[in-house]
Amino acid sequence: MTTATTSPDVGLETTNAVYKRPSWFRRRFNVIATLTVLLVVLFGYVIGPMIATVRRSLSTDPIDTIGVSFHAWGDFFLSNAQRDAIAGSISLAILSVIAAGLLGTGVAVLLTRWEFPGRGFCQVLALLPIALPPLMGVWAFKLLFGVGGRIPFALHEWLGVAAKDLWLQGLAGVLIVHAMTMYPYFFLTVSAALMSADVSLEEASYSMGASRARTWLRVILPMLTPAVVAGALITFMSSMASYTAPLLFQYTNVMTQQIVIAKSDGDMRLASIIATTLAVISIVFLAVIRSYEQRNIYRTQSKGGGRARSTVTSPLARAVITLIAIPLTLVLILPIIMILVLSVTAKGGWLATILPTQYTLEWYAQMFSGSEFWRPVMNSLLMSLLAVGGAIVLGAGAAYIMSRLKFRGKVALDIAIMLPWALPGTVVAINLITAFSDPSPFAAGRVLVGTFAIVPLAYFVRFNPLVFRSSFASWSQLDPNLEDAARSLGATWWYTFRKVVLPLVSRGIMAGALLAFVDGVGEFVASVVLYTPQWVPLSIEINNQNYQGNIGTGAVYGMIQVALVLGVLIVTRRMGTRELAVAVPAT
Amino acid sequence: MVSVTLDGLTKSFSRSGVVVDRMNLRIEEGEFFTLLGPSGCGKSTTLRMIAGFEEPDSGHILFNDRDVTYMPANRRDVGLVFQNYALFPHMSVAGNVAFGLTVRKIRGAVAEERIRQVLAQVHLTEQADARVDELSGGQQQRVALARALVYRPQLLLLDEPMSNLDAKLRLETRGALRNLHAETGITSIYVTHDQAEALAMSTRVAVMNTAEVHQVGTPADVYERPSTRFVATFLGRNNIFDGVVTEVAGDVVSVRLGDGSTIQGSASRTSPGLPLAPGNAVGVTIRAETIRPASQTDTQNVVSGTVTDVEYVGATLSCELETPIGAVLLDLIGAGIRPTLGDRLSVLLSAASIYFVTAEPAP
Repeated sequence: MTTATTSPDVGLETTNAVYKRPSWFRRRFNVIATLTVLLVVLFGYVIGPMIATVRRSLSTDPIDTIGVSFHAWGDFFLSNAQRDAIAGSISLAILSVIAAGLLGTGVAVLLTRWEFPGRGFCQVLALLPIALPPLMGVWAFKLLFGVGGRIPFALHEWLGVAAKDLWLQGLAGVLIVHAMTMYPYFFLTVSAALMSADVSLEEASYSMGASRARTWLRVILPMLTPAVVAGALITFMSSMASYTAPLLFQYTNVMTQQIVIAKSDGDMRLASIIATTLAVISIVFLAVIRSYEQRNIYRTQSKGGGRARSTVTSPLARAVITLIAIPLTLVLILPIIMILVLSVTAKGGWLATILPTQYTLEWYAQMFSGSEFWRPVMNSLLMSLLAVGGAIVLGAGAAYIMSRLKFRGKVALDIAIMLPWALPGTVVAINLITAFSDPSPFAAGRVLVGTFAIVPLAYFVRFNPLVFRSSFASWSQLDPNLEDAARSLGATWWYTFRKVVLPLVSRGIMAGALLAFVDGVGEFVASVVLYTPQWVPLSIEINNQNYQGNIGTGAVYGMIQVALVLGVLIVTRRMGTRELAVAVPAT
Repeated sequence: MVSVTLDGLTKSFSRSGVVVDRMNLRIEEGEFFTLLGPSGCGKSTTLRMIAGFEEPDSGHILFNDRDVTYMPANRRDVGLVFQNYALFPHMSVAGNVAFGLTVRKIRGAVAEERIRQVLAQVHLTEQADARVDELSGGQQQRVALARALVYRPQLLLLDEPMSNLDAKLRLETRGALRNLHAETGITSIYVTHDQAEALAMSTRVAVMNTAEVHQVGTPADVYERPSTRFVATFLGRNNIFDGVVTEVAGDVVSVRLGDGSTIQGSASRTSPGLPLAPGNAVGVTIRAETIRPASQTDTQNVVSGTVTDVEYVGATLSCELETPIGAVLLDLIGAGIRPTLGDRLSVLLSAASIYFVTAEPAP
């Protein structure tokens, strides 16, 4: 506004300019230019690498890309181990949906339908596992439930069962991690559905003479179906993508594990074949989720009046509900408590006891001991920042185009943007390796694999859809009339953007970006495949420290991540963004 | 002030087809001009083209003599009031009003004085520092009006600005808007589907239906002398019976209706250009409020029927009769009789109230 003479902020210096009908190209220039940038980036870093992986899967040579042959694909489908891994991934996903579904729906009904002392507190606690750091969290599960875990030990002490029989290994271990980390997908959607459910429908059912059981069966549960199905689809996809839990519980009978095993064996062709298969399954699920989202969800039709929560009057019922809800909630946050305890447990201070015997603050003291400790934290912050910066420019920009402009092929573009959201981190990593292990025009003619850039690029590819989604929500909520109003009041496009659009959408965009940012700081799945020793990400350092027996160091890092996530959640809540975005499956 | 000329304005959308079809209109300087029509008739699209948010496929828009068809919206110097007000939620009332001034580099004491004035005009002096979401619907509407007027644009555009207000507030606002227009004299184009608003406020009204302007005229013109069948039925509560002209004797026109009965009207009361020769099909209209119970002496234009619906709406008693010529709607005002359901009633369709329009087009 200070550049009064040259700035076109004033629309109304009455000139005698003659306005002709702009040419076809002039009218579409903005759309064409932005779409071009978007398409180049999408092609270069998302679609192109996928094609590269498919290409490599067709190579006649397991290492280099030569010729075209379907032999390896034939072998893949004939191999018992690979067929088992496909079946293993799918059955794990189905079991995870059942386990997480029962847990999440149960907790949601328990904490939403009835009023009991401590309910509000339980609701907050039940959301806490969202803050569980992806890698350290799984370690906590392993140390709680796995071989030599504390829970089997405690049960042995109290009930006298042989602890050995209670150790969760392989599939059972993975399943408990999935149930306890993926239940929020159900908990959030079902709670929201229960809260917004139209209470008058229930009352109508009672007034027509239906019994309580019949009302539940025929009215309340059917209303929850969309929420449950949505939760189930996301859980299924997350489980298919899960890498960390199978890794730590040594369950190799899943596709993500097989990809990394093939890659370590040097058989990039086999890795590409599995990655392609897994990508196809994920894309099919993305399509199912999209078409499901477009169907109607039951919304409240009556005005005003929130859900009247039934107050349990019978003291017995009240005691029972309280006695179920509170311990259940505490079990849910056990992994976070475990990390906290580990971070203050002295080395060798927790042997044959339920609780540690020696406590120490020396792990935390490392925080002040010099830069070595902070290096991986800084690395991850930097790499995540770069990725999210790119995602804000591209994702938020794409969201603006998608929410405001009409053009052909919009649906295809939307799918292309959301695609990486469906891809497991392992697949993204393999795609980037196949695309950028040779000089590429999209890497300024250089090889990216083995350089610093590849990890932030992977984060960018993975988190761009998250930023796009949250931005799209903000843009869609912005009344287009506001922009028209500003224009008719005489403001230029740029002035309107700065003074009206940006102040109204920046919070939503920042909320999504911050959530993506914390996800990036803890990212393990793609990092473990792509990182270079000069730039060790936080999650890799945690893993290394834990394997060296310095679990306290890993736990302190874990607590830093918890603090970061909670900080971001509080900030985004403050920003007024109600929706608690559930991040990408990060395990 | 400015006059607005629409010259052959045409706009179509890929989904809805032609929404404005070769529209010609001239809005004179200082007029309060209303585009009236049912939803989807193209009136809002016309307004958006005048404001500069849509480009016409063909045709021109002129402000005075200047072609503004392709002038960007922010250079047209118009004030626009939106149906949902489109107030900037992150700014105070004064902030919203100041926007158009700031953009025009009017600031400091001059701007403050203008804002103070315009807020006084719309009775919002007290609310200057309030957040817009703290205001009632009526207050928000006035902020939108103040925001559009404060920089004294050459043209004011109003897009159904009252449709979100309750009935009583709408009546008040109607008067306030009329006064404001009288004070400022600003050329105004008002879009509405509410005929009462259109008739009460406008200098002239353009009645639109399905992309076409059916009639342009003063409120009295369009109500009393509708030029098409659509205008006749869209405005007010009108009865329409189709028939065939049997005789034209001087001013007296006789029409045979569907049941074989004959009804008479005046040849001077017809849509312009309607041929009234024996054998021609015509539509016979008569407004509900002009129908009276027949007296003993009435012989011509009397129909009898059974009362099938009675609605007491305070000022009038609205009835529906089932008669041989079809259903007849009538509004009784202090007529002294209170028909009830099932009563037999004879009513007079006075020849002086009958108005001829085009016959229903053959299906």
